[in-house]
Amino acid sequence: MRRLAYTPGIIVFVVVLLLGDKAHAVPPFAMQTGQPCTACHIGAFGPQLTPLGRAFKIGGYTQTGGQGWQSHFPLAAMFLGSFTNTGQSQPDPAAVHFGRNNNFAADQISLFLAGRVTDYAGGFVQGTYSGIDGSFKLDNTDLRLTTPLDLGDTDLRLGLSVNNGPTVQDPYNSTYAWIFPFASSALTVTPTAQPLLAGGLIGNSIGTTVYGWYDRSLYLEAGLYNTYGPSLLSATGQAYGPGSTANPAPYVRVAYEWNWSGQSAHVGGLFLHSNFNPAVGPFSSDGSFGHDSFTDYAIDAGYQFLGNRTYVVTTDAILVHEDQNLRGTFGMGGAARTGHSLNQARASLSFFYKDTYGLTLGIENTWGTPDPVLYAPAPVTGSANGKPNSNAFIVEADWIPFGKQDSWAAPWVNLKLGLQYTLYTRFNGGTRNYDGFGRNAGGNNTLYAFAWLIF
Amino acid sequence: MPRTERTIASPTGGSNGLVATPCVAYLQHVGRTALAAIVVFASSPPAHAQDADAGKQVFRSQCSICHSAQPGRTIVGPSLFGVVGRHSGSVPGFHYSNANRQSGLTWDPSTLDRYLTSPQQVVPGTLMTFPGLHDPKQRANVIAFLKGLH
Repeated sequence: MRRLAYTPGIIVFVVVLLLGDKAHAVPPFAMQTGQPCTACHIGAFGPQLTPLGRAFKIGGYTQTGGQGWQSHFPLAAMFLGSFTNTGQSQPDPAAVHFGRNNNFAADQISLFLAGRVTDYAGGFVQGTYSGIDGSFKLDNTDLRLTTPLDLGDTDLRLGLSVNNGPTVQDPYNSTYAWIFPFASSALTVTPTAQPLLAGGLIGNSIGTTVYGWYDRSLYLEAGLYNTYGPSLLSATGQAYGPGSTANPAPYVRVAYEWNWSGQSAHVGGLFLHSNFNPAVGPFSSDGSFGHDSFTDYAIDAGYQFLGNRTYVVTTDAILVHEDQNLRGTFGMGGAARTGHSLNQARASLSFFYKDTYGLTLGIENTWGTPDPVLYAPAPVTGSANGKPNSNAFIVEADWIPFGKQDSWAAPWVNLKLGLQYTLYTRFNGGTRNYDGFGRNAGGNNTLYAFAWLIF
Repeated sequence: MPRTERTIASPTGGSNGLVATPCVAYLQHVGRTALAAIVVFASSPPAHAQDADAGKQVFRSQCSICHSAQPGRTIVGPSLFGVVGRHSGSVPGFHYSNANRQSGLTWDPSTLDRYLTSPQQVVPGTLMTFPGLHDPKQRANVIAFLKGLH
């Protein structure tokens, strides 16, 4: 029964970690390249990348152009503060030292180490202190070696990335590490069921991938991921998601992009397969009953209208199908059967005016096979009908007063103020009394107001 | 950066004090002819040895992140195939800034040299956020490379 009680907590914890820690434009990159944040990021703040931002990332963060000592200064800091209101108070405090509702928080304080090392090496490392639980963790990390190959009329960029989670290294805005919403409350409740790609290996694993970018159009990447050992998990402030990898998890990414006059589009696909020893604690797993295996297949796409940057429209989408074999969890009594599937579709549409005012609409729909044990009733996080199905609509309004080329103290001061509302029409399988303890899906509707500062 | 005109002005130097012997006259004639050829050839290029191969490397490391050298290929900025001699804002279908369209520039080597030194100063409001190539030799080389894109 310990397993039953622990699993939802783990999943929610992982989702909270995933949703709250997306890195954005950092001043060292702007100083290194001599270009404003808007050159590489939509809305001056990111993390949405423009075609130039993608090329910079794929190029290993090595592009130069800046002058003076500032162009070699690799440090930046970030502060994210917020207010969270949920439609219905939670039965217990949202976190230690917080109330059941209407919480102000210093969500994150991060330090970035970012920049070019040589013409062929660069990286990005983020360390984050959480004001929610008082922990420090190693956040998004992506270290690269790259080189261009001249193929005559075209070129081929080859690279190697060492990173801490599938899609952290991805250059497109339609994959999980970088998809909308870019900031979310860590003091609310999110749907329990999430595919592995959504973050089960982000932050708690290390992966090495190799990639090629042919003719600035065809992007191919493949690699392997392994979860940290318990000591490294503890040292980096992370925890197991579904469990510890029993063997290296293969990851494959394919994408093709088109760029034309002020516009850009891409389509792609992802594959991730992993065998886990199921987690039985933050730093412990148990494979004695067998492994849990997850195989994710995803297709994604995106489009950007950049024009002359007065009006910018972007849209991104991803559809994931996951096959699950939960032999280990079943053996421990955590599931009623081994074979499952889970699907998720996410899409967003954003509009920015002069990189200053933004409005983004998002949708997240999850559905899959039911299991009365895996998705058991429990207050707030459980499911009364044993279904993983959830549906959310998200709207966010942003104001970015600082962060543009002509902003005060550019590029060292970047500020984004946002107001986000998440509306659930279904949560963990139901709309009314979804958890079996009287809570409605609308009770988790969340108003999240935030101030995001990078300097 | 020293401009071509200034550099080539120096050797012309006016009177050199030589007596106008036939030989000297011939040499002067050759010199004037050579000078005329230099002026024609380099009426605009920067006064640095131009190395198109080196310029290609500069192009790859500094320009190709946004510009293609292939005809008709847009990446972030317009293709630079045939850019030398082209009027600003003239690639069909490319979404130029008003500033670029209305700048009235012709991308001859001299203008390119000024522009590449600091794009924002030559065309205030351009969407090209690249801060510029501050090394005159790099500019000369990359312009030499661009001149070959025809």
